[in-house]
Amino acid sequence: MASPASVAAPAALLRLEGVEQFYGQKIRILGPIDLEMREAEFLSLVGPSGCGKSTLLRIVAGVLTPTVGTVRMGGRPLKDVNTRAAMVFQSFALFPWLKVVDNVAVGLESRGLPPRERLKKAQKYIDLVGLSGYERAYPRELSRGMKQLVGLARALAVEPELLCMDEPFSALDVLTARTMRELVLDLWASPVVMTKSILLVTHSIEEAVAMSDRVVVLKANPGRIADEVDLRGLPRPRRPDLPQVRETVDRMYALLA
Amino acid sequence: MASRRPASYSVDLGLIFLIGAVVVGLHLGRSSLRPYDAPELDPRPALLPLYLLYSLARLAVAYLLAVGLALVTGQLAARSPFARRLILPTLDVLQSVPILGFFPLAVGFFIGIFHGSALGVEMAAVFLIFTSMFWNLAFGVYESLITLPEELALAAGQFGLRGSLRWTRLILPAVVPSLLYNSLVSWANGWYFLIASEIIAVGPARYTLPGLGSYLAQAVTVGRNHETVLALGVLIATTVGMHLLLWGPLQIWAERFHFEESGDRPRTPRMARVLGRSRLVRWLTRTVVAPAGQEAIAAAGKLLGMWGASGWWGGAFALLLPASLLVAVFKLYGLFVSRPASPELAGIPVDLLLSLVRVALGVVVSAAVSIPLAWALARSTRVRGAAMAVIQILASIPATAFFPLIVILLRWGIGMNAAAVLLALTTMFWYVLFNVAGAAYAIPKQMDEAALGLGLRGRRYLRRVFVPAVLPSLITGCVTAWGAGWNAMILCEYLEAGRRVYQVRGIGATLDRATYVTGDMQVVAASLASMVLLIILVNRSVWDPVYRRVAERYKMEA
Amino acid sequence: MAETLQPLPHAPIGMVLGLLEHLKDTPGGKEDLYKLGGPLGYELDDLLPVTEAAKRLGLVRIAAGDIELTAEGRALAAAEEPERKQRMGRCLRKLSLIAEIRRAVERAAGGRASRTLFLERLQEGFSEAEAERQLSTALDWARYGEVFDFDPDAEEFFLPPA
Repeated sequence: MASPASVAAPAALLRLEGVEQFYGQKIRILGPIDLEMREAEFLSLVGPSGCGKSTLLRIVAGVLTPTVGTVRMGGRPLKDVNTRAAMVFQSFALFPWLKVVDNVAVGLESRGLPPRERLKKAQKYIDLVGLSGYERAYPRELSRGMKQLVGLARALAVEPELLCMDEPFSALDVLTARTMRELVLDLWASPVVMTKSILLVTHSIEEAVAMSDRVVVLKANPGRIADEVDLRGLPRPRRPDLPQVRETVDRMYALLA
Repeated sequence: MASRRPASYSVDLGLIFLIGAVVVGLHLGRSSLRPYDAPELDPRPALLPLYLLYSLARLAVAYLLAVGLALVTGQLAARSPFARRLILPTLDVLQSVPILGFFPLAVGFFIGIFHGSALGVEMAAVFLIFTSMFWNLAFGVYESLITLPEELALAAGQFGLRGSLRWTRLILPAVVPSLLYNSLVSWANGWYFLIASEIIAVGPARYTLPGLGSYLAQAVTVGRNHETVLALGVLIATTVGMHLLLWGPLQIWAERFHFEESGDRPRTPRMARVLGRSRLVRWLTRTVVAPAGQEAIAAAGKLLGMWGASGWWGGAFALLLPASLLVAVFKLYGLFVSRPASPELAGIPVDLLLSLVRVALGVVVSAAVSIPLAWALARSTRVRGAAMAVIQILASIPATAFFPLIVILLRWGIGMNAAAVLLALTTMFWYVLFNVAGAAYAIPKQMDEAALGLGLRGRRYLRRVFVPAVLPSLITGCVTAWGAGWNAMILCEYLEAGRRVYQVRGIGATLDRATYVTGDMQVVAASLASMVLLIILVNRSVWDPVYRRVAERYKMEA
Repeated sequence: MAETLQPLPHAPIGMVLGLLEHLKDTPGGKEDLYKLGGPLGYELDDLLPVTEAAKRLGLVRIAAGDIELTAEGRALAAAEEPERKQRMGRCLRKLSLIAEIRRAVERAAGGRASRTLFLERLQEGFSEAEAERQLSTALDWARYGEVFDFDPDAEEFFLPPA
């Protein structure tokens, strides 16, 4: 499986310039952060809890306005919700009163798609994540893994340029998380899926190494970038028992310590 | 646009509702032209269904108004910290005010606006019912919105849900359970005040609105027993029928709007679970209530979305509440400066004290009876579901319906003092029992088993396990009963039955006399103000700290 | 309809699939059962319903402390999405509870069968809570294999559109 990022000299999709977040008037919890993300890149943010990685992701998704600094999406400064991005949440954040198919279609509805196209597109992404058969179920009827598949389909269905994932696998059991990681990588490589840039927040170094082109390591109090590691040289698929993978993981643990 | 719009039930429903409203309005308007020199209602039983319909229409209008305003205020308070600082304290003060006492003032206001026509009286009645329904609905909306899971609200924003889509997909579904739970309380309150509001007297003037409440009140006053029984039967059948055919199916439908994780939602609808076994109720839910509910959410969302688009008058509304309070205070002030003080004012402190003793007695008796009763109910696992459903239905029968029974007791010669407390108990008791029984059912099984293992039985179990476990709910019930008790004082310290007046000294009686007999607005204002001040004072200095301490000490950790 | 229904182990179907993937990537397609928990971060107890489910579906063999993919298990783990569901659907129809619901739906007049019917029948052998869980698990699995679907508003099972 070749990484789509190896295509020559991709342009900057996302750029954060001097982004800072304050709690109240005085306490700075994040920043200043300068960060650039290329088109078709799989970028992971790792760090200890309290390093503001989820805050940073929310700023990128446009649901949180930074106290200081600018977020540029495709060159233009972000003023409101980032409509070119879609988000997958740690707690799934599904609407309990909507059936699976309506949950997936929610973003399409707000983008004004007519009902028939909405349904067609929702069905396409439900099939892609392997949820067909569950369209008419309410979220409460699903296992946690299935719920996160709905969350993933909902985000992909709006065909965002950037997929933001906030600890998407940490509420899942290990077997399910493993299947889902592989699914995300398959979808990323698949020509059927429009979304080619992924920003993943995780506390697991193994997960970041297994999945991404580049890993940005954050440290806490206030959250800042400590280091970054380019993993484009590491061949895929990256099974955890391969010596190269294990060595990279060890190196990153050393960085964090 | 060339494409044909899909058919929508909400448009049909809206049209039907509009036509109905116009017809009822025309009818009432016509009757409004009749002078009020003969306030006697036609007592033929054949007219009862019509009277019931009038009463239901008043309740429905007041309820729709209350729900609409509750959504707007609740959402505003949850969204804007500025609005919250204005709305919450105002709601808190207003809800602890005995509504009945303010009724004469409201009637005067509305009749003034409509130049003495019946429409003014009609509006006043709807307004009274509205105020009895509104507060808990608004608090319910606010509470369920601030406890919305954070990531869900974020997701709604991230996926671009705004305006009416945000209402239909996020806000309305999220508030449905609490709205429904509170609707039961609101309707019970509504019935209670309906009966009081259909006969309106201000000074020597007396207005009678045609309705079930006025029919019942007239039958009692004149002393026609079989008409009283008949009207009572219709009233009870209506409340029970609404439970079976409306609230039950609605609660079954609303189960899908509960969040799984949070166990702290409004009390689980036990009645719904019992009713859910009925094929009729399930069929109703599926074919009528669920589709109608979805349509209602869609229609309300569209409407509220339009409102949300012009946000400025939300702020204006938030200002209106405290502003009207200020105006009221100013008016009061004017009343006392312009005239010499009425001699009756001097008796108010003693009146207040006497009523306070009665209300306090009511609270103590309610608590004392509720605890063993709830204990007995909780112990027998077989009947608890059914018992709770029965209690819920009984509690929704307006206490004003027990009025005639007390009158009969009075004729048998029990003292007016005892009768007043008994009458007040018919409202107060349910609040306490309902809360305590709910908490008793929620005692974890493991705790019971542990207690058994430690040899805690009988009285010792009651003291060591049961009472501490239900204490927070007991306090909540007592606070509600305390508020309801003051309203009851206005009703039951001064009774007219069988063309005789029964009274006992107290603030309620003083207020009633000033309102109905002498028309002395100074006494009305002073007794109201003193009552409100006392209630707020006691709430702040007794109930709030007690509740806080109990909630802290006896909280059941999840 | 007289014989007792065999209870289903309560494992989400997603975890069963995860187990198959794990075994597929294990050299030799075979693993010590007691070793399985460790690398996956599980207590063995939590894993048992999953292995039991895979066994009942005929996807793994458990013998002498080893767990190993069957031929069907190997084929299913290697298959891509529509085919995977079809294969799973065939395995699911061998389980008595799922097969029975499927038959009832196929025979029913409007193509719909009431959930209450099966709940009552299951309550002959299980507690009410366990009967509910049995039906939830059956539904979770059956939806994956598109054996039958459920309408929560009407509380009825029905056939998924082909």
